[in-house]
Amino acid sequence: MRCSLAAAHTGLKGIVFCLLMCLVCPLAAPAFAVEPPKQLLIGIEPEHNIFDQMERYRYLASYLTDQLGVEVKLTIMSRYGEVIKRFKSLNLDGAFLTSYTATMAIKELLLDPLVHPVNLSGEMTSQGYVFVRRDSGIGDIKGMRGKSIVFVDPATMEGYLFPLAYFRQHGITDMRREFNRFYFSGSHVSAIFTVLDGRADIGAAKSTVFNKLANDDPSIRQELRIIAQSPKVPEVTLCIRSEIDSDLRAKLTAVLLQMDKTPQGKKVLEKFQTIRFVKSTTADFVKVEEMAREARAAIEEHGK
Amino acid sequence: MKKKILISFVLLFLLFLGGVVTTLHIINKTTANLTALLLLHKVEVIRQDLVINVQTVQSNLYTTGTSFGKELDIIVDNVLRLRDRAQTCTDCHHEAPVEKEIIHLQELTEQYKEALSYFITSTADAQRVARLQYFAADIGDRIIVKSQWMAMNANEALRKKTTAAMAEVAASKKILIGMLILSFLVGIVISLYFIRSITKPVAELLSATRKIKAGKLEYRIEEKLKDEFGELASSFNEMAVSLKEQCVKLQETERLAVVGELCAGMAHEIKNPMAGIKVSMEVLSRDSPLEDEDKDVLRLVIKEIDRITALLKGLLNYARPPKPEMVSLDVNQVLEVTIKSARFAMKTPRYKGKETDQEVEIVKDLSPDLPLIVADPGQLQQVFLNLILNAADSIAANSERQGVITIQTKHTAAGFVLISIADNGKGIDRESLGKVFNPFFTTKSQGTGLGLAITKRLVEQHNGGTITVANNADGKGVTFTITFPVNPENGSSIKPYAS
Repeated sequence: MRCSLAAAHTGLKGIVFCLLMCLVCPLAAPAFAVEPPKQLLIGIEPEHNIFDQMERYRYLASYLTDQLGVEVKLTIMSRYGEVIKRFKSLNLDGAFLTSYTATMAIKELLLDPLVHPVNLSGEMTSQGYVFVRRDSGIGDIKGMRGKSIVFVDPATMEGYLFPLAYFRQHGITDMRREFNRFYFSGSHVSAIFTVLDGRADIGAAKSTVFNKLANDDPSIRQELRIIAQSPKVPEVTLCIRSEIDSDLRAKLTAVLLQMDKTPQGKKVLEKFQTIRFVKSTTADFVKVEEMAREARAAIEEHGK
Repeated sequence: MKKKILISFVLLFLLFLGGVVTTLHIINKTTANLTALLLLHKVEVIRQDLVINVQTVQSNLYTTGTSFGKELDIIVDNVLRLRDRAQTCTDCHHEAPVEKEIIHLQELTEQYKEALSYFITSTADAQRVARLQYFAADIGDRIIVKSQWMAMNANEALRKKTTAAMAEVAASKKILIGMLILSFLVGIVISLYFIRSITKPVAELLSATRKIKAGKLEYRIEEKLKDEFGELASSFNEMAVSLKEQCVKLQETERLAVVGELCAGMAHEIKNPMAGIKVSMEVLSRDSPLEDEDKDVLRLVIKEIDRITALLKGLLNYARPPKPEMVSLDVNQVLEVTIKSARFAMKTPRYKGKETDQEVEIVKDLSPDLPLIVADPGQLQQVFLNLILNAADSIAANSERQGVITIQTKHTAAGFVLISIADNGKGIDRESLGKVFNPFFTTKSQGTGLGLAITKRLVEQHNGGTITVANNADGKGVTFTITFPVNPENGSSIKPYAS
């Protein structure tokens, strides 16, 4: 009899436990679900005019906010190399990065490349140019010795790493010794104008910026001579943190890739001065990594 | 009066319209002035905002790279706000010199943006960065100087515009007060004029009405009243005349009624003994053994008794005429029947061969499209027969010329059917002409003097029927003229006359 009572008691306990579990489980379930972020903070690397650039990107951010249901905020960096620091200090969720910073960020911050914009000329890649004024008398790398040179920024592939790699390949490894003077202009445009103005003999800059300026002012091609060109690499890439919710990532990618297929998206693309977005992968950055390795070797040998 | 009221209303309306148009014009002008002032104030605010924005960006510029420096995103926001502010300037201005300055200001802003971008993104050596900073700051200072200069100009324009607007408002106030006073005065003048124009004649009419009410039927409004009041006074006077006539007629009717009652009573009392006397006389003249000469006397008595009886009958007819039985009839048709009867009557010895040997010719001039009238055909026939036989009597009395009775009918423009019966007999002297319709007035030796009196009564028994008499223009004979109003319903609701 006692045995049966104990069995009954144990059975009752089990039923109560089951009921409690039934009550608690649905309440607890939402606590374990991964909530998508309410905001995406996207960084932008500076171009020629950061104000116009910011305005262009704001159209895109506004469109993405509407399409994703998540507020997309922008923050601009004053230097190309700031991106790694910003990802850590501001907890950026992603950034539109130039080739070198994208390569570094993929490697160090484990960002995922999502899409490349295709510019109005139909290009999504750029090259590094090393150029001189035609009246400088510099015809090849030998003629560059002892001259002044302007780079864009230590964190640019086209504006610094490519020329470093190029010079190293051609026997110039110690910049301080081989050149009279070298400095960083901060942007590709200012590097081009610095050479044009005669404040430097040699310059390095991105092909897309160079070509755009040259198309606007054909005299630039008459005044400047391109001495070397790098392989083509992705110009700008949207990279986002790998921890971002996969649904949101998929949605973001889909929205960007489908923009050129909707009237509203086309309007935004027009204001953003882009034809469309195309998918990007880590394989796109292999060449950049090779150039960076070459450049780093040069820097390791003789310092910046 | 109606015209005056209309003119006054038009005058007041025009005054009101003028006031409204003036007020609207003033309101529009004042609103335009206020809008311009608000715009200038807005411009002033934009300028100040622009200066503040530039100063903010300048401070961002000077503190960049220091511990007081702002985040680049904030600087970008400030610069874009500055750019937007500079662009809003072109939204309001249209004057070429100002437009030119604003375009220059916008160009400076674009240069400032460019220079700032160079400075912010530049990683060149410190000397170059300082140079870029100085260059950007210089543009910023130029923007401030230009904005302040434009603000000063705007202030001056604002001051002038305000003074002009205040002067216009003061002038407008004077005009509005003037319009108000003018409207008030015109309103008072018009009101006084109408009060005078209305109260005076109304008082006169009221006084006249009271006098008539008091029995002074001979009272007439002598004062010449203006406009519709004049017409009203004239109608009032006519009404008084008509009232007087109606009173006289009423008195006459009452008198006749009394006479009628008296005559009826007397006739009744006389007729019976007369009948008895007549029968006795006839028996005596027929059956008595009296001599023929004596019997002639008796026959004369009987003849006189017949005459007395006829007189009594006429008196009764005059005093108590039978009530007319109205039907819708064609006067020509009644006349035709009457003329036949008259012709037959005129063939009796009284008219033929006894007093004159001449035949009486009856000339008919009957209008073929005569409208119908409402009348008693029997009484009408009696009236016409009486007048025709009267004319024949008149002709018989004048044996000098061929007797002609002219009977004419026509439709008058006033809406009456007119019947005239004219003879070329001896006529009536002026003195007697006014008395022919009086009872017992006669120029005939054997007449009772009741024929024309009964005729007049019968005619006047018909609503609106009149009878008049006048000597003919050629002095030969008289013309009796009878008028009856045309049946307004054209016989639709009145029983038609069947001859």
